[in-house]
Amino acid sequence: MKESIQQVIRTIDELDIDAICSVVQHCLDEGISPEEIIESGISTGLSIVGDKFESGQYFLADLVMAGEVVREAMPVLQEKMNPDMTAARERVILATVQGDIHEIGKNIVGLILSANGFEVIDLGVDVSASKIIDTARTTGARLIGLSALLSTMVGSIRDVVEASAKAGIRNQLKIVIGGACTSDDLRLEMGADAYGETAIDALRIFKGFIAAT
Amino acid sequence: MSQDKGIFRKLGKPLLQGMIPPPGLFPEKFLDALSGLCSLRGKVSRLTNVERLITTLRHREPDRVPCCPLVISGSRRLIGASFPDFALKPETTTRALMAAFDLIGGEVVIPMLDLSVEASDFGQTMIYPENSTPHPDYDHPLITDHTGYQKLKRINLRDARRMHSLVEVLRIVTRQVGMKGVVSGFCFGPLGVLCMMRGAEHLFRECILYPTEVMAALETITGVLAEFIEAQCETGVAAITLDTLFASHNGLSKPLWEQMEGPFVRELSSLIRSKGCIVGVHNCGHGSYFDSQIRFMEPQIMSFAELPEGCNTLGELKKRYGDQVVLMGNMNTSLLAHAGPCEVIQDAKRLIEALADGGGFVLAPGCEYPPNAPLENAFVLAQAAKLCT
Repeated sequence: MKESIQQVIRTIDELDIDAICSVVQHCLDEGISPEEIIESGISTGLSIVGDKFESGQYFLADLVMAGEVVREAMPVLQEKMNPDMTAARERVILATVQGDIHEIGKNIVGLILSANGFEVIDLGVDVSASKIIDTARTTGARLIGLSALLSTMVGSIRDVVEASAKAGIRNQLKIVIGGACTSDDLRLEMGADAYGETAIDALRIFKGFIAAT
Repeated sequence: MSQDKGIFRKLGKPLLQGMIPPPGLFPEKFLDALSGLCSLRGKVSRLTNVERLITTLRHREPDRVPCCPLVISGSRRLIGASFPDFALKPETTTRALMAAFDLIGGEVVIPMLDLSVEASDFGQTMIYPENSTPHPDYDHPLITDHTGYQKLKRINLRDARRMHSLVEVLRIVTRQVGMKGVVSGFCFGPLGVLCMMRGAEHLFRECILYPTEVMAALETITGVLAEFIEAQCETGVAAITLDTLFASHNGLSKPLWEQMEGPFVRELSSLIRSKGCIVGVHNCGHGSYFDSQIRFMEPQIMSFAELPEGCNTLGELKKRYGDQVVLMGNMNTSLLAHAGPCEVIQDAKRLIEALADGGGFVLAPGCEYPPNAPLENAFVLAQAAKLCT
């Protein structure tokens, strides 16, 4: 692996927001494509941060910070990206379910998915099932990530699943749930397709769905 | 001698009013002897709620585990009140909380309104939904960038409408509960209050990038919280619970938390102790830093939802911290919201078996009883404390 790519990985791992743009620019100056920087550098860096979060070496604040580092780098990369590649990106709809206004976990998932080449359609918080399904129909997105922190709002997950069935597109969608009050048991109860405990889990799950199709 | 008279006055006055005096004013030896006697008596007869708690707090086995169902805004449903009424009308709040205490039971009452009380008095715009807990208007945070921290103005407690409301609620609830249970005040930690005025993502980032600015705001907030805590102590509560959510994997790294919030909560907990009240800590985050929180706040009670950092089982938790603090909580709120009574009883049994040995455990949900969940399981929880010990 090229030293400049390793430098991108280190910069993300060290959460060095001041250095990331110049490090990424250095890669571009060396002729490395934005896609390779994202795939080999940024994704790997985020993966290391994710592993450290899961093993308890990094904390939610660090995960937020890693997302910020990546966010800082994205304009530099997007400027040089191949438009065809951008258009081909898989779309993911993210939303915090109706009745719940917690968004930090969803936002972290969004940042990590974006940094890994997904086109994220973030509908925000307190989003109705009909809005989520309408968005899936109009954008053609096949992947949906639902976040819920409040245990009393988990019924809203079932609402989304049922709304997709009513709209006749349930089989075309993969609905993934996450958030403090969710679990694999809840996924089964609500009829969703997968449960992710962390943002890194979400990335693995969505990548798995794409690979399987 | 005059000092002794002062203490007797402080102990005697609440007793004459049928209330519990500040527990910290009693000599340690007296509390040890009393809890020893209660523990013995508990083997042959039923203890009163207060006896049960004293025994538990001194790490001796009572007749059965005490319980704190933590039905807070969920109590509004017992009197048919809305969320905004519960949050904004002290008379309604009091009626609801007392209805929960009288009907559901339990030994510990923690009256609180919501986690935005302090932030709203600082000027944060609030949203009061009809069917959900009040929360800040996240589209309009009071602090809009990192320069806003140092501009945060100290407020006068006299003008703090919502903090005043909670003090008023505590004053009434403490009198009405009397000797039937223990009432704890509540105060969100300074970092939590700041989070409500800035948003978690921004705050986390700025704790790392602009620690000096963030700490300036924390100092301003802590000054106000100190007055708030003093006012709560004067209502006659026996304890104050501090919520330090961000001392967990859901917040800052341990060194960063110790740097940012540690010194401020140390100040607040010292103040609580100086008033003779018990320091309780609530943290419903994953991998909570029990060691740091104990070092900074020296609490007597730790209320928790998840296993703390460094503990993989309840047994490990009990072994590591069981002799340092009274453990409270851990019942999954999702289970309370969705499971049936048998599952709740089974879970209570699991917790009691793991944590109640030798005293020092209060059966409770890991966090507030889900406000919109059916209340049946709160009744089951209170009964489980009696059935499963």
